Order: sequence, then C-alpha cells, then structure tokens
Amino acid sequence: MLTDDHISYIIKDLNYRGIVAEGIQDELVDHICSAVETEMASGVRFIDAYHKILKSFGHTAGLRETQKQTIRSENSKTKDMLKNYFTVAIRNLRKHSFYSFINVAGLSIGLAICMIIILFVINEISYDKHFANADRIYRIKSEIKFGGNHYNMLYAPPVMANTLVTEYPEVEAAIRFRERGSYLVKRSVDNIKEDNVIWTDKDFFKVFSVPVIAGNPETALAEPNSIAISEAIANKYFPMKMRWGKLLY
Amino acid sequence: MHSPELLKGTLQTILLKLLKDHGKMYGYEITQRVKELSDGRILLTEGALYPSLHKLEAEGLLKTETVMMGKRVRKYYTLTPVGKSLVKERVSEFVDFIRTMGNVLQVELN
Repeated sequence: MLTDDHISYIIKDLNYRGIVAEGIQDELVDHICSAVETEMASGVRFIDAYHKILKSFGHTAGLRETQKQTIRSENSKTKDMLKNYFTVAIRNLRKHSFYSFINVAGLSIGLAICMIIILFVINEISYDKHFANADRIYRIKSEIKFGGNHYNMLYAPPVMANTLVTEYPEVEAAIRFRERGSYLVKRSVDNIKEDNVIWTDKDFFKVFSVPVIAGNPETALAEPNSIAISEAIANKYFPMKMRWGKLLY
Repeated sequence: MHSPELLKGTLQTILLKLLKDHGKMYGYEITQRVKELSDGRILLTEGALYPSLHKLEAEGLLKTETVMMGKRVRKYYTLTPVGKSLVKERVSEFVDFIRTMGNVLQVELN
C-alpha cells in the first residue's frame, strides 16, 4: 500500500526528528508504516494518516522520549553503562588529542615528580632509626662565616665532644667520628684496601645500639688501636672462625 | 480505557503471554493484538512498549530476527527458552495478584 517514496519520506522525517538510534529506528519506521497503512485503508490521505500517527506518538518529543527510554532500558546493566563511559572517554581523548596529550603528560609528570619527592622524603626520615636511642642522638652541624665565606659543614672541632659533655648538662655523651679515606688492612702478608674505616671514641657502643655478636662492647674500643668489625668483614679476613687473638694491622 | 498507571506493572506479563501464544510478533502487531483482545480498552503506547521489549531482550527473555520488507525492516520478537519457562509463572503470579487485590479491595471477582 505504501509506496517506496512514502517510506523514504517517513524514514527521512523520523531521522530529522532525531530518531537515529540503531535498533529502535528501523522498528519505529516499521511501526509507523504499519499504522499509516491501517489508517490509509480507511481512505485517509498519506500525509494526514502520517500526522495522525505522529500525534499518537506525541510528535517529536514523544518519539524522542520513546527512543530515550528504549536505550535506557537496554543499558540498565552497570557493566554496559561503565563500558559506555569508557567509550565516550576514549572518543573524547581522540577528538582532542593534542590537549589530551598535554593533560595526560602533565599529570603523569606531576604525579611522577610527586612520587619521587615522597620517596625521597620517606627515605630521608627513615634511616638511622634502628638505634635504640635514635630520638636522642643528634649530629653536630657547623655553620661558619669566616673571611667572607659561608661554610655549612657536617664537621666540628675535636674538642667539641668533650666540651659538650662537660659544660652542657643535657648532653649525656658525645661520640666523634673521623674518616680519612681508604686504608690498607693487613692480616699476615697480603694488604687489602678498605674504604669504610672510621675512627671513633671508646663510648661508641653506649650511644649507638649496634648488636654485638662476640666480645664485650664496654671494653672493645677502650684501648687505642682496637677495632670493631662487622660480621661480613670478619668472614672476609678470618674465614675459619678462628678470630680471637689474631691481629689486623 | 484503562489508565496507563495500572498497566505499568503488567506490561511484561502481557508481552510474554502474547509471544507464547503467537510465536513471533512485531511491535505494531502486538499493539493491535492487545487492542483486539481487550476490546480497545488497553491501548499500548509505543513509549511503553518498545522500552519493555528491549529490556526483555537485554535480559535474555526475548530474541529478535529482522526481515527485510522492501525499504523497511521488520523486527520480529520470539521467546527464548528462558522466556518460555517464565511465562506460566508470571501469569499465575498475576492471577494470584488479582485475587489478592479482590480481597484487599473487598470486591467479588467472578
């Protein structure tokens, strides 16, 4: 009954009214065509029949509402909704690729730097915490203005330690360290270069709670030229566990 | 004509039962069939019909097949096995509901 021209007209008109969603578009076209055919069977002109049917749909607003409700009822699942959000996001990123790049790159760099700063700070406040008295141990820092120069140094004069202990009641003990590069350490015949050799005071073990495997921490460093070594160094020089009474020069 | 408010909750039941009785149907055919069965007292609006059909399809109770008819495409709905198994339950549930409503409203149902 309906000619192809009529159908084309309906398709075009519905399209113009915003019925474009895949799935519902064909269906509404067919529905309206069928309804129009029924109307025309009773002798109504095509255009009058079409407008009557449109009215029963509620014109453009009603058609669009039907389309909207249909799409919504299909997409009621959360998974579909999230998938849709994702698709829309990707399309938007593609559409504005330059700004997306700036945004994403900027955010990435910002976050990366932020993370580096956090890691740095965490590292800075984390070390040397293993000593039992960590909260009561302080390091002397020297700030010297001398001859037009401004020095910021982690060095102090040797007498500082004794002065602090004797003249400042709040200071319980003071330990000095001195590092002078690497040393050659000799066991019997061979010389081994060691980088981490540090001179210190005899009360070292009172202030720094370094666990001691063997020996008495009270007296270990009491005599001049005595030495405290780590387990790794002990194994290096005395692999056979015969450590006592041996000499290192 | 019955108010669309009353129809809202029963639409799915109507669609499932119709499709069980008739096999495959398309949208317009459904509205006409409902109109015929109800002596014109239930007019399904397209605004309610298509969202319901698509919802049932998305839930896996209906499946569709499309047939080309010249320039137009006709979409037929049929019940899936899952949909078929639900029809009896839905209908008896609704009959039960009518009976309960009869009791609540204190009216005699024949």
